[in-house]
Amino acid sequence: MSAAAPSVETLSSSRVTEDLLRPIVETTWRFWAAISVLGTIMAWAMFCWGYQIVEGLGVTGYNRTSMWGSYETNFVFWVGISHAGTLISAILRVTGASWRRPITRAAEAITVFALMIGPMFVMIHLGRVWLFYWVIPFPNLRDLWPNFRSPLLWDFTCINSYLLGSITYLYLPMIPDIAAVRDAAGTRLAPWRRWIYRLLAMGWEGTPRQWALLERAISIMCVIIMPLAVSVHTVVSWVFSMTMNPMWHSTIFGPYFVVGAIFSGIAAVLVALFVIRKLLNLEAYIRPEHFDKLGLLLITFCLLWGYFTFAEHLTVWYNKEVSETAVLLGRLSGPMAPLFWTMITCCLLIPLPLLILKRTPFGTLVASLSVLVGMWLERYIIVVGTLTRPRMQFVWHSYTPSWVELSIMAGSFAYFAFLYLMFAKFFPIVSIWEFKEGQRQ
Amino acid sequence: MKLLAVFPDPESARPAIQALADVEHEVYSAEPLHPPHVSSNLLGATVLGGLLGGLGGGVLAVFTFKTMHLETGGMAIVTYPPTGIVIFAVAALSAIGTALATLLWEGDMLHFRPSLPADIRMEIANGAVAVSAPEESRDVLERAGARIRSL
Repeated sequence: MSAAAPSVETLSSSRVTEDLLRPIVETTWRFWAAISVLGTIMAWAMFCWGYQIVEGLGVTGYNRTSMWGSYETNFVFWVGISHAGTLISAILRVTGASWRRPITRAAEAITVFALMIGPMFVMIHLGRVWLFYWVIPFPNLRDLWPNFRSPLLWDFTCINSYLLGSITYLYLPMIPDIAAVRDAAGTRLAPWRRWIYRLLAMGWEGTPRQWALLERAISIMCVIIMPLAVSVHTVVSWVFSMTMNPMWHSTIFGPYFVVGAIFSGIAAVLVALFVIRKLLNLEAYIRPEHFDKLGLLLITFCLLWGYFTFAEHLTVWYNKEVSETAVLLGRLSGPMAPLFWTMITCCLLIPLPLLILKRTPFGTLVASLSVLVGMWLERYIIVVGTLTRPRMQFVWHSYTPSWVELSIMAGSFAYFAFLYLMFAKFFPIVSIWEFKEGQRQ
Repeated sequence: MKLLAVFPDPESARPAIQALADVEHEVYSAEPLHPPHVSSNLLGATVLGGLLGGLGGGVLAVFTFKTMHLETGGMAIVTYPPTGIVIFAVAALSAIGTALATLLWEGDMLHFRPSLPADIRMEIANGAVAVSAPEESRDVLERAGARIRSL
């Protein structure tokens, strides 16, 4: 926190509204600079995707054994990141953690945007992307077979439910704040923006009945969204564990993936909070205590993830099954070893000391960035580590992502930052009414 | 005729709102003040929506299994685990959709024209509290320090 940041109690109601609406009514050169940089990266990624569509999947590093690679890694990674917001926000709401108020919306937005990006990689991998609707399960007369026994189809169902549910969960607590933008900033905005806010605020007027119903609806949503979030990453893990491939066919993959998802999700929330706090001058709202408490959560999931990783590898090492051991040795001392030990360093050795000693905003940022790198590597090692060492040794292969794949991956990160920036530009990134309610309590 | 009383903040509005307990009135605020007990069908509608959604998901899965004439090698055409996953996901989505729709319906939010004047709405967004009440409540509202105007 900067020394100039006033205490929560001294902030007047009008000052809170003004501060939190400022990014919406004022556009700085930094916003346009960021949009330009992100736009350039996205344009390059689009060009690469177009190149892949024209030339085919041969421009990637995929081969006969590694039919999955960086695109699936990114799919699992982004779906994991999506566990940040909705799940964390729902847990904190249900447990009545009052410190959550300024951070829930920033976290919930991450869920929605990460869920929009993750499944995009499935479409990118399809090759003939214009036929993507063939994966949608519905009875049809075209002899297409919507295979309900395939975990990929379960993914489609769960992810879509989670995405639509998360959008609703993000929208509900935003209704009063959209009404605040409509009413307080309306005359300072372009007519088309006023029209959008009026549309999105519906008939919100802030009557006691509306407040009571809204709070009840949010509580109900929390209860529904939590099992849905857990089911999504469990189903993503089943895409791997329902197969007989070595080091995929594991009974703990469901909880292992969920823990990893929440772990990377908390890290993503911390990075986002640090950036918006600096960029939008929100030091008075997103305070060091938020980094401290989220840092504690990160330590918890760091240890949980470490425990699951240990358990997963120990059982494989102990049973000495030939194909499983081959994949394990590939990780510990083979071609995957540099990535594996970097993952351990990034997920355990760097963040743990940093977070245990002192959880400053900058310290938690460094720890979180390290966790994000480590968790991306974890997904890569799971996907590629097994496929490059299948059961039949004579088809062992190597896989390296091509420049096309790396460009599209960079584009996905730029796209996420772009969506998040646009969200912060059009909607209050800190919940105004929840912050004021917290002040009074 | 109705009056519109504007209080600078929730604290100053609270005594007047309590004094108007027996009079028909409406409160407008930018934060929840005293959520009263509101009778609502929100929970029941959500549960019903979830049940109907689950039923719909199950019907979709079973209907697809039956109509696609899958070659299963003698095993059951309809497999329960995938059907369960589809039922769960569609039930959750349907419950969420129903909760949203019920909120909008019961909260009288299915319109886009706020009833209060724009300047009052701006004050409310900045922390003020507005109370609309009948003319005979003028004394109570004035004693509480409200700025009053006719609606």
